[in-house]
Amino acid sequence: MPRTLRALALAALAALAPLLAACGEEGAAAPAPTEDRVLAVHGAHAGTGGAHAASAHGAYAAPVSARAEVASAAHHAVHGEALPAGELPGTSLFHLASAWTDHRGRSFALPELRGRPSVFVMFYGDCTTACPLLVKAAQDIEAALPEDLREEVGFVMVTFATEADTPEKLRAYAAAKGLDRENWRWLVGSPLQTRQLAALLGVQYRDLGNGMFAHSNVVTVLDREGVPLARIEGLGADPGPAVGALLRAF
Amino acid sequence: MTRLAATLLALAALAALSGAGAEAAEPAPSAMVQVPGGEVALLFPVEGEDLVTVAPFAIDATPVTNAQFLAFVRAHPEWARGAVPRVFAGEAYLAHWGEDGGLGTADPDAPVTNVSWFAAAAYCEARGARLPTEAEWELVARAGERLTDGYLEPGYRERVLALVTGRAAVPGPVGRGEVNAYGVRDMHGLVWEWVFDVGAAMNTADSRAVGDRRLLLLCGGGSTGASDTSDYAAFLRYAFRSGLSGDYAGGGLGFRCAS
Repeated sequence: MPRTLRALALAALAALAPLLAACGEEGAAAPAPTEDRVLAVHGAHAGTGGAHAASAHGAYAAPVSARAEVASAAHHAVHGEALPAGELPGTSLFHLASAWTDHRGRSFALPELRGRPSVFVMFYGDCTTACPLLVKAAQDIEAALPEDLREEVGFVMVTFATEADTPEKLRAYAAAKGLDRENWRWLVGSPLQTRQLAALLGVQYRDLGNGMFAHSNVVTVLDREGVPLARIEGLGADPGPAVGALLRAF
Repeated sequence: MTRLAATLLALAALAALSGAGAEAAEPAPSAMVQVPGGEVALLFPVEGEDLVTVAPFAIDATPVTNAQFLAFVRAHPEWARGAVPRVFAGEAYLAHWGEDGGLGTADPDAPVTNVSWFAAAAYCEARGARLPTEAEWELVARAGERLTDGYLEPGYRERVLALVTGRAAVPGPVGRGEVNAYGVRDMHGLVWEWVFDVGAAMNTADSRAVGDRRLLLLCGGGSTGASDTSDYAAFLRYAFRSGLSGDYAGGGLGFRCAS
């Protein structure tokens, strides 16, 4: 390889220093919705003059202007009334408002989850190694919750396989696992919205073109307003942080 | 049938002309170039994915400009700076434009930068198009001046690397830079560009692997799996892309659409 070429490449790599600097500094290169980032966002609120206050259920930190709305949403959820259509926080994933199709063929949009905490997993039906473990991770989280809260959490399982995983197939998949239930939504969407959601969740995937997908394994917990509270990457991870985040969200 | 299509095309052209007359300075979208498709070796192939087959597609001849993106924002005010939710675009979103929501001192004909992936994807969708996939983009980027496989052309790697490292801090107008064998311009010399499959960069097929692959890709060890370690410009592109999240907006990063 010519020396000059190598030198040019090194110069250009230096220009990428902000990205490369993240080596060995976990998470810094990936401003995906991690707990740290969420906390940082809340910190910024405090810095700009919004005093923190706990919601009716404890640890949800939000600016005063949003607090009343959150508390009110909790109240409405408990009493089964219609939710107020207040403004979502800027970091809410519910800004992705396009319609998906669920395992019963119903249209479903993420903002319908407002008012209840949720757990998001991206997977696909023909995946035999990692995905059953991801689904199990979500089940474990549900099982670890106090019994009266289990039905209150929305479990949202979204497929990478926008062609292969039809609603019928998703329903069969869910039923085989005993998870064709009201608080479990198995969703399929367009290639664009699937990629959008993956970008929001910090999930990497690649269609290998042979019916298989390479993908990262991520379980994300969102609060009642769709803001990420916890992000657990990798299989066989301790469900503790996710359960803790859900308890804080109530 | 052909005659009908031709008539319809002529009518559409007339309508476009009269539309342009009614409202001045509404920039047309970029002209698109047909690419016959082919096979492309991604720099970091996943196991069993040595060559990716790309179907025929069309791609913008030039990157999307400030003026074109402004027309989109005017038609879709939810994508204006200040209106767009933080989750879709970071602080730098359109930071080089004027305070009033216009272009300010930004060159209307320069590629729009400081756009997040979400905004770029929304622009293309509004045009009835989409962002090019990484494989499509790489297939086009791989073209030399005269051959669609630039690797067969003497000096290709050096030329591309010189274009990438010689970029101006503030990019100039589109359409005046290098033109490749497909007739596509400015693939290397102006800005980095978003692709559809943001977050597809993975250098291991083992989906059971724990941890963050992006770090592996960037940090030395990842390059041992690269398909052509002599193509430094490609290495830079993949390294840059692998560190991006969808809300990132930066000065050297733009996009073009495909369909």
